[in-house]
Amino acid sequence: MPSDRAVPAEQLIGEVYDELRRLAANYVRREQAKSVQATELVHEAYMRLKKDKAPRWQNRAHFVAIAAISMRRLLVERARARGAAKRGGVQVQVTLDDQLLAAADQSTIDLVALDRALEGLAKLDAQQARIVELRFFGGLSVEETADALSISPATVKRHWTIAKAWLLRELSAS
Amino acid sequence: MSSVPADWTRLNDIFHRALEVPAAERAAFVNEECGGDPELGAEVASLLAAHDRAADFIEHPNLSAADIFAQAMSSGESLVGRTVGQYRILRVLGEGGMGIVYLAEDTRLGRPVALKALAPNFTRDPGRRERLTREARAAAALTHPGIATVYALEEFDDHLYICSEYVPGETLREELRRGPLPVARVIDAGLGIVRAVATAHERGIVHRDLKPENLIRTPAGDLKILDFGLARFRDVIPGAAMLTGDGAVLGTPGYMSPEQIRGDAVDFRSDLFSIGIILYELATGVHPFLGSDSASTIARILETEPRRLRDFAPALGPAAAPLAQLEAVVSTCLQKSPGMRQRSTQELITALEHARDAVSGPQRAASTPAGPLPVYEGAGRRSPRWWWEFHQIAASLAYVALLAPLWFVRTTMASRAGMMLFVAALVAVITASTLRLHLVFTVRSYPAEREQQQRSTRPWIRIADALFAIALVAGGFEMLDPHASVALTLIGSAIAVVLSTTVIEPATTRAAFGSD
Repeated sequence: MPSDRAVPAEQLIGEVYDELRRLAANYVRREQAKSVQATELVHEAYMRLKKDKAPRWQNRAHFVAIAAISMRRLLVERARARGAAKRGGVQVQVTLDDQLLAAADQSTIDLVALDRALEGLAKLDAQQARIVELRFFGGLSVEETADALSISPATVKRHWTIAKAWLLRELSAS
Repeated sequence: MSSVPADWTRLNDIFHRALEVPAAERAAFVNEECGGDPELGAEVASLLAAHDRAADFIEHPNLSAADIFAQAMSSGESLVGRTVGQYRILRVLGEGGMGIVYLAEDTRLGRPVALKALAPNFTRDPGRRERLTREARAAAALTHPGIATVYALEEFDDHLYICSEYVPGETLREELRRGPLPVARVIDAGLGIVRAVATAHERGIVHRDLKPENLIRTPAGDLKILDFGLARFRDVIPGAAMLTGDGAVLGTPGYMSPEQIRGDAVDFRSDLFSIGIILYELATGVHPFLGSDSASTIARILETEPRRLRDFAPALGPAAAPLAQLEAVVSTCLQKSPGMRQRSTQELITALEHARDAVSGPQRAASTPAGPLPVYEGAGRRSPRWWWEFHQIAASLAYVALLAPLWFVRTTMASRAGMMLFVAALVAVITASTLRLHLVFTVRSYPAEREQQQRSTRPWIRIADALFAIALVAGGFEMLDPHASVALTLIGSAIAVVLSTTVIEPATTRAAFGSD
């Protein structure tokens, strides 16, 4: 491994998280916010942080894995804050309805609920939860995910299929 | 690898095998597989049902993270009218590097406070959170009438808030918009700022972001410094970073010291640099390093010397006459190398007090030439340090030159005594001159070590001076008979050496460094 001094993951997460925020704030300032996807941010953050004088990233997969965690926090916290703002107002939090889910409109996904469900999945099967995190929050393809976790793409697909079903069921039940 | 529950593994297995069976036969397949475990069967069946509906669920993440920030930063997020903890938020006071600052009412204590909302949920990193808490605690321990008190670091719903004293009044920035201040007022403002800063520096707290925006003139006319000890909080705000990776410079970098810009270690002397800029700007109305944009301002801070204050005199008219008083103080603050600035905040206070005395009572200052700092006033445009260096070098050269008459004395004396006299003088001259030149070199190259070096060399210089004076007197008496003029030169030189080392040297040292 290139790094002989192990940097605690928590610290790396904080760093990536800050970098993502900075980047996003930049987009906001340049008024390009609407066009930027979370996954692009992750990519850009990687391109910038890998120029570190002493790179602590073992490889791109390592970075993206961390970035996915950061992105998950960022998005979920924001959703939570928004939810908190709504509570007490006239708006009622909309729970996911099977019909809506069938339509699979991303904007209706309750990120806070998804986050909670993912935590539940992690207790059952940490690797499956990780796969969802990488693919959904990190924007990785099946192959990239397989790479990041050092497993075969077929395994990723299998896990992904059941994790998806499990999460959907959890979200519908809540 | 984390362990996976056994029945979860089994469930996965049945689920995947069921997917390979034609849809119509799945129910039967699951029943058969989970024969003795109806619960497991129901679980698999419900997952299979969910799978059929899943379609594109979470397949195409379409999460615009930047969009999230756009909303967070828009005024829609304003807390005005809401109540956070015991604080009722009244209105927005401003938006600074640390986020939005609100005027709020502490409903428990019934007093107005300034509430700074830090970036929401900015960190879950317990280490950093602890560091911030520690900083806030240190800042809260600062109590000085010139510093806005930090009351508390509050946490509500995962959001951090800094609650501090509400200071009504206008910032120095607003005051500056009306033009430069008279020098006497600049000095008064400087003293107000520096005295407050000194109490923080004594506790090892550096402001790191002194600028006109952070200095408020209260209705009573006093100055108060905002955000003391809170510089670190700025780092956690998205978009508040001074320098972004693509070279864009944000915020107000115009008041950073060179070491701060370079990212070097920063101590109280960084604040002294910022204060130098503020005083310069207050006196002239012009930022000393103003560039066409932030990047060029930064480059100027690092590389260029500002225009001399007195060069502004024609533009400012007769009111600018006392500018020279301020110039020595400000130019020391603005030294690129921290070691060349005032050695302590106290030293800056003393210098400003002298400048104030000189400005408010020029006659008194002129009639007391023994006063430590104003000495240079009568000396024209040279700085006290220049005179100190001049004295050190001139004394060294004079000593060496005086070896010539002593050599002449030796030739006329009995060889043994004459040689002893000359060798004694030679040793004294070499010692005194070498040490003096060493001090000049130290002051120029390693200013931080000046005091220590001066302390350790002083006794040796004194001994060498005394020895040299004795040698000169001895030589002078020896020559009285054959060459009276040489004798008088030598005795006169001895007196000069004694005066130089006991009167002139301490005076120039005190003027240049504030102590002897």
